[in-house]
Amino acid sequence: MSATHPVAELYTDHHRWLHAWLRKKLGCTDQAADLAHDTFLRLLNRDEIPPLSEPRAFLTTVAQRVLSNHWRHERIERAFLETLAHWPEAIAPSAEEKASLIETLVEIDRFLDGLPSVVKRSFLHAQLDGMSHAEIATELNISLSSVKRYLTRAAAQCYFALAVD
Amino acid sequence: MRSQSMPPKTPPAHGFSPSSPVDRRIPEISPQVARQAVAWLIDLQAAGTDAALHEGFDRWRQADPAHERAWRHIEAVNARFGSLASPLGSALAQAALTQPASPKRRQAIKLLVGALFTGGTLLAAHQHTPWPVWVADERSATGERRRLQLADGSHLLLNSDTAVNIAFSAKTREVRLLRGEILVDTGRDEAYAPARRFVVTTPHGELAPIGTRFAVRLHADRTRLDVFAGAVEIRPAGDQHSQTVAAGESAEFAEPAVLATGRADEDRIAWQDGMLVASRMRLADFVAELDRHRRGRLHCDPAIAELRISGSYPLAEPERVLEALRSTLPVEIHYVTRYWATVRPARPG
Repeated sequence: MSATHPVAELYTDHHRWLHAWLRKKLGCTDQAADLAHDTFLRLLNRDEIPPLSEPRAFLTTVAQRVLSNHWRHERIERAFLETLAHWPEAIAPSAEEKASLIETLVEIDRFLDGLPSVVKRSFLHAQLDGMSHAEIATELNISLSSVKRYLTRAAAQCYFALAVD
Repeated sequence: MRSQSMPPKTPPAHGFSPSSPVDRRIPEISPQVARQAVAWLIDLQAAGTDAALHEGFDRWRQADPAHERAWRHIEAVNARFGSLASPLGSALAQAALTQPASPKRRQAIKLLVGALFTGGTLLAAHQHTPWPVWVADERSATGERRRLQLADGSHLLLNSDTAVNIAFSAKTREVRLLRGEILVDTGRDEAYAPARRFVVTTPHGELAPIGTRFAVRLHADRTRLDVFAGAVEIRPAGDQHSQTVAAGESAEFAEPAVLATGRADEDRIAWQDGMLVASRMRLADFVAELDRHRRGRLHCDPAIAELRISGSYPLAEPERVLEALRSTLPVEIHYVTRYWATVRPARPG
């Protein structure tokens, strides 16, 4: 290990700049501080930092991911609370269950990122509702062969990050 | 062989581009093996109980440690989704992951939730299936039991996953059993004198009760009748003669004849109280019965079909019943997906 950790160096030189950059995106200085922190944490968890000729471009790239994750979280949490508001209170999840459900939703959302809505729907019906291919075809008003194609595409991406036509 | 349906494609590059997906590839699983595993998953989901396919799958899985690793990886990811495998979790996932927020969507959520909660506290995801599927007049979802009061004062109790058509005319009261099982308490039909003829029909024949309480169960190849009060006259399709089944008796029939008669079995209608009661029941029959009340699919490995089981089990909690099976019999529960499980012999060690 070198005398100064590369992340420590990045931190000293660019932390203020990154914070300002995030504040512009978020419009909130506290959130910007949190996400700047997350960005450096993410770097610390990496096995190695490539040699950098453009450290700020590199930081921006990592921070973009932290940001998009943050927005993803916000979007899902909003949809979650909206759905829950219509659910009978008797079976409403506890605060802990809510947090863990949101975490899981964020994770699946990332796994299925970029897939068309109908592909995601097919996959969720198969995995979470245990629906048969025929039931999914009826539910979504699509053909059986489409169901199979969609499920294959969703599974390849979800489990193995593979693209399939 | 299985990967042929999916031409190999270059996996997305990963590295420092912000658009690259989170890397879920495990170094020791090649894209080819991963594609095969996915193809098996989809085929298995589509095939249900196809034994040949399951055997083929087992062979594939054992053929190479990489195959086993790929499959375990799928199972591990599925396990992470576990907390969402409920009607609430599924509704949340559909709402949160598949559409942008809009007033229309809020309306859709309201409708969806409304649909999930009509007809009792036991909810089933299938209740929000679009109308064309629900051609039957009345039906119950998997895991649901429904009580209906008919215009003539009769009561029908629908067991899980049951469908009936009801056709009352000036002369007859007909209940057509399309799927599942019903418990009937016939009413007096007081508005008519004499009372109109009451008849239950199945593909296997007709049942005409005479002031009575009885259960009718439709199997793929036969209809089973248990009479608990009064009497029921049965006439198998294609048979000129009818036969009377009295209280305390049972009969099974199909076209063109009565197949067997015996004693009526109160245990068979324990479902009206939400219980599954077994007395030295074949495990295969027990699992098939539980499957009717559980969302998803459940099968029993033929190797353990003849094991016997006794006891009273709550139908509302099929997963707990499966847990109990595991602790009382030499079996294990193998989950392909959260809802799709096989009861199979426990592996030694």
